Amino acid sequence: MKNRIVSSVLFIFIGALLILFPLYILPVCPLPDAQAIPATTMAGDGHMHSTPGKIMKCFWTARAEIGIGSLVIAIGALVLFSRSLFVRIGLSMALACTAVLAAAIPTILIGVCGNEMMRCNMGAKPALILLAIVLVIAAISNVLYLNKQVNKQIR
Amino acid sequence: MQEKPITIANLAWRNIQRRPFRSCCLIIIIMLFSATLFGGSVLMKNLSLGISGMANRLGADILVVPYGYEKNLEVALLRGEPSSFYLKADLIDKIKVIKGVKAVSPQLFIASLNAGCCTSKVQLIGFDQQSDFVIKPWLQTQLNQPLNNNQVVVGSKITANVGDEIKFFNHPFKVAAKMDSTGMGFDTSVFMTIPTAQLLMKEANLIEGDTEHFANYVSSIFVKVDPDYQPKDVVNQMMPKYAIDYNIDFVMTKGMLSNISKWLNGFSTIVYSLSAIFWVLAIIVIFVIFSSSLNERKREISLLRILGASRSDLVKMLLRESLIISALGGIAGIVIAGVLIYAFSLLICQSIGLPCMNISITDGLIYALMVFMLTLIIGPLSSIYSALSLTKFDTYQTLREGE
Repeated sequence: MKNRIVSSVLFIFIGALLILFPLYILPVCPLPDAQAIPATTMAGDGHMHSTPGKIMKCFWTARAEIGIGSLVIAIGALVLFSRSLFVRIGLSMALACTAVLAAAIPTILIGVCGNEMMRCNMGAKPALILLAIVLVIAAISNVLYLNKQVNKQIR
Repeated sequence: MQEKPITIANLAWRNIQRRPFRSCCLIIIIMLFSATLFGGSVLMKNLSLGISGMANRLGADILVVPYGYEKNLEVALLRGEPSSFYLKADLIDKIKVIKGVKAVSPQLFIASLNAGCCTSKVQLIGFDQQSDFVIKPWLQTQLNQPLNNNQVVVGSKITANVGDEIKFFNHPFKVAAKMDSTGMGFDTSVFMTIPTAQLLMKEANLIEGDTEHFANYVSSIFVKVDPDYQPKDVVNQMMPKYAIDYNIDFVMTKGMLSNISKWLNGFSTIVYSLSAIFWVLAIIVIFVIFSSSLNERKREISLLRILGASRSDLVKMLLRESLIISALGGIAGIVIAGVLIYAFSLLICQSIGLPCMNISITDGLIYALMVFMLTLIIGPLSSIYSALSLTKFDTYQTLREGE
């Protein structure tokens, strides 16, 4: 019971931070004026001198992290309601994999603005990577702990 | 499965594990101390490295700017925040002949467009290649040929390499050289010749007012003073002659840097005071917790005595307990502060608005070791009294208590 509450609260908290960091706490670059955005605008190549009004990579990274954060929150909630140790081990493993995805979004899969001095590069990117690392550590620790419990029960 | 033998080390570790909440709280208090001290020290070192690097390599002793724009120049130099201001260029020749002036070099500042999400704010700076003594010392590789109208030198934080093409106001430029990290505003600046900068301003319609004679204007004049003369004396010569006619003001780089040093001293006082408070707080809290648990642990200690543990063994066990807590708190604090400073160093420097350079790994390790040693003292120091007094009571009486 104790493990279920502690681990689930921790996962939900990290999931919420994955959403809040790129949006509010250390936000990515602000969106250009609405009129300036063409209807078919796609993510740019990260070059720092883009045309005015172009939506850049960091915007899509923030959007993707909303999805990943929601998924982490959902899995965290499932951990709370799962009585079976094996199900919780499986959910924690899934969370570890999701954490890798959360780190890959701002680094490999989508990325952030090219210029090192942009606020998405200085704040949101390292914050998301750190959160992903914390989530991986928490999820793996939970898997190891639950595995120990399972072994105890078998014995 | 084989059971572990009961040793003093095992007992100390099991005691910590038996009370996870109490142990975690103590570790967190010690962690606060080590994180504050380590993080603050590394941050101060980063800032002082940035400031000394700037002082050593800026080269200029006096900066001449239009009256009222001293702060703009400081901000452009320290943070690279773009701004534009102008003064008449014929002042350069007049300054050159002043006694004590060793070298004079003008610069023309252009603020690049700041439109849209990720179009970065870049300070474009036109410099005079012949007289320059400010930009050249920072170049990673020396220029083989003078810059032409389509070439620029970029700061270390500009995402472009030598040979790349970058666009400003729709004009393509080739990167001819890249600068070393300066830790100041030059890192986010782009340098070109003054005629190129003037051409760019004309093309981009950035010039207002006296457009015909725009070539006769620069933004600031960097003055290097002969080592035999004081910058103050040179300013005293310039002030009555040109200050009113040209509506100019002077920024003494030493004064600017000493202001920053003063700020840094204030910052270090706060960091060390906070660390001292956490250090004392950690000692008091551990002392109180160990002393208050004295009574509840009397029976445990008596049993251990009966099982054959000597008084010195018990003191060792209690000291080891507090040492493990201190070590865990110290390591956690150093790791957390180190990771946060490494990850957010750029953001922190940008927020403070001062030049910043990362310290070397060796220096970082030395700081970590010093903080860790200070942290290790906390546990034994605060628990020594409890440890000694625990062994003074009568074993038989304690065990019979409550019967």
